[in-house]
Parts: sequence; C-alpha cells; structure tokens
Amino acid sequence: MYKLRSEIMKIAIPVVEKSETSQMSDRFGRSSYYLIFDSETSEIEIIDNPAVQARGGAGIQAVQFLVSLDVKAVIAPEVGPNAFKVLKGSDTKIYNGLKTSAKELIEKWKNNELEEI
Amino acid sequence: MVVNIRLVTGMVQIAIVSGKGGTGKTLVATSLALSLKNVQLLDADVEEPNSALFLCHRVQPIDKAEIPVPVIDKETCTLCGKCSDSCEYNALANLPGEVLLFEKICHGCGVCSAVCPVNAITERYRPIGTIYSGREQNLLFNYGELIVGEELATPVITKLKEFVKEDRDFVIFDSPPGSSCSMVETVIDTDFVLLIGEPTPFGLSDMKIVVEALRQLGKKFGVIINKDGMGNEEMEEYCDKEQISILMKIPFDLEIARQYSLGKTLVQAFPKWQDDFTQLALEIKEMV
Repeated sequence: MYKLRSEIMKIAIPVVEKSETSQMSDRFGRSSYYLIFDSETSEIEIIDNPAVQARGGAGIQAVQFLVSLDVKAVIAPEVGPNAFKVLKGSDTKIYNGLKTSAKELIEKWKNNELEEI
Repeated sequence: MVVNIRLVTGMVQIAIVSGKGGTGKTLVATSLALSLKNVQLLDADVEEPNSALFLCHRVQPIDKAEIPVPVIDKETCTLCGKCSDSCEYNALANLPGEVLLFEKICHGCGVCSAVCPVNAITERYRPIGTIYSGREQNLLFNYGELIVGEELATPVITKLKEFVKEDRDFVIFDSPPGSSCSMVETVIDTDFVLLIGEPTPFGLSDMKIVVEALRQLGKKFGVIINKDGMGNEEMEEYCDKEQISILMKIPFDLEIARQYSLGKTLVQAFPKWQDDFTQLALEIKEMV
C-alpha cells in the first residue's frame, strides 16, 4: 500500500486542452497550457504557457514562469535538458507521468504512485 | 577548356541556395567554380560543409568564429532578474540562488550586460566554429565548420564572409538549405542568387518559401532545375507564372548520380557541361 501524501504544494502538468479533463501533453516546454493543481485548496487552474512561441529556450522560460507562480513540482512525460537544469536549480520536483489524463495523474500523485526523477 | 573571362568591372558574388535539402546546390556550386578561372568558392553550409570532398583535399584551419557570452560576477549580482527578462533567447534563468547561463542558446547580443544595473556582467569569447582554406590550381577555396554540438550557424557564416577575396572575378557561396537566418546571412551581401529546385511537390513547396524570402530581401535571382524529368511540371508552371527565369536544367540521370557518388562533379564527369556553366556565369554577370 502506498502512503498518502501530506505535502502541500502547487503542481504543474502540461496539458493539450484548456480543460480539467485534458490529456497530458507530450511536450513540456512548448505545451500550450499548464494545469496547476493546488494540493492545499484542491483548486485547479489552467493557464496559457507564455513560452509556447519562444524562438529558443522555451523550456527555460516556461520553468521560470511556473516557478514565479510558486509551483513546486511538475508532472511530465519527459523534460528537455535545459528545462531539467532550471527545475533542479530552482528545487522544483519532477515526477515522471505516463501519458494519461491530468486528473488521473493528480490522483496518482496523491497516492504516491509517481516516480520522482 | 576553361574560358578566361576578364571582367570589365569588379567581382560578382553568387549565392547558390535551395529550399529543400539535397536538390543539388553543391553539384552546381562545384561545377560552376570549376568552369571559371579567377574564382573563389566558399562553402557556407557550415553544419555539413562538403564541397571540399569534391574540390580540395588539402585544407587548413585559418581562423575561428566566436561569440561573446556573459560572465556573471556572483558577488556583485543582486538576482534582480533584469538580464533574464531582457534575454530574447531565454539563455538566462534567474533562480533563487543564482543566474543560470545556457551558453549554447546565447546569441551573443550583449543586452544582458547592457541592462545589468550593478555592472555584474562582463563578456568572454567562446569559439563555435572554424574557418578553413585551401587552394587547388586556380581555385581559392574556403569553408566554415560549426563545432559539433553547437547550434548557431550564422556567426560562423559571418566570419567566413570576412575571407572573400576582392580580386576574384567570381565569388561563389554554397549556402545552407532552407530559408532561415543562415541562408539569409549567406545571400545578403551577394549580387545574384541561384535557386536550385527539384521538380517535385516537396521541392516546389520549399522553393516558394525561398522565393518569398529572396523577394523580401530584394535579391536578383534565377532558377536551375536539377533532376529535370522526375516529378512533374508544376515547378516550371510556377516559375512561368511568377516570371522567374529558369537559367538551366540538369537532367535526372542515373549516370550523373553515379559519377557524383564517386566524387566527380558534373563538369569533371561530363566536360561538355563546362561551356554551359561558363555561359551561365556570363549571363549572371549581365544581369547584375
């Protein structure tokens, strides 16, 4: 049995649609939207990624944006090497998520079923 | 026979471009260079320069291409974030404890050191490419080569252009494929652009993008159809409609490909083409 999490934090998941039922996007830095889940209030918010059209360094810009929103963890299928450095440099946790719906990933995260990278 | 064309006025710079890769830029560039007498060929396809394979086996490095990158003094830096906010390329990340630099993304524009309110940023030069030169009889030859793992081709091309020899009658650039910055940097100072097209739907689609770019740049250009006979007629119809001159057609011929794969350019394998290329150069000279 997994132990339920007690941590309180904001988690970001790249998603393909502006909807709570959206699938996770397979692109991290250039995902169109991020779903932000606040584990304290259980509120879900979906925001536009300002880095989606970046000429270069989209992952770097996206992570800085998420960090500025007080995001402390991300769930992604994979992240690029530059985004990885910024995530590590800002002490943001990275959880490896299989491609499924964001909702399901949040449940898995709550149940401690996601691997931390 | 190589025809000697002493020109009344100065040199003519010709860039050889294509939209799609593998249409025959190097085939044309090398054959054109070998058909002229007082000529310099510069291979600006710095991500994979290959003209040397056909023309000039003995080359040596003569210079390096560098770009400035920021050096941030951690003692002075206040982590205000102005540098990372101003960076057009997202090469700087302002993190809680430090500003992280992503060197390979940095374009060396210098805006970070200009906006830093406490002068914590100085610059150092970082090599990203090498310039080579060689000579084979009458032919002067140069190329740039991007260091493996680097991303910025354009500064290497800019450096390569410093080695243009003004005393040549013709200077030929073998451009990178596509229509991005590296192609623009290659053609921008030239007098004429030869656009090599492959008469397929894919070839035409990419050609149209380049035509649009060349028109915006205000460049004189003409088309060479290579592998003529494959694909369809759409490229010719397009050129006709857009009033673009087709200056030459090179047939889709297995023997040309076979000789080329053995390292022989078109004019080396089939000397009858030499007059055509010499004539082409004269036509271009007339047009510029």
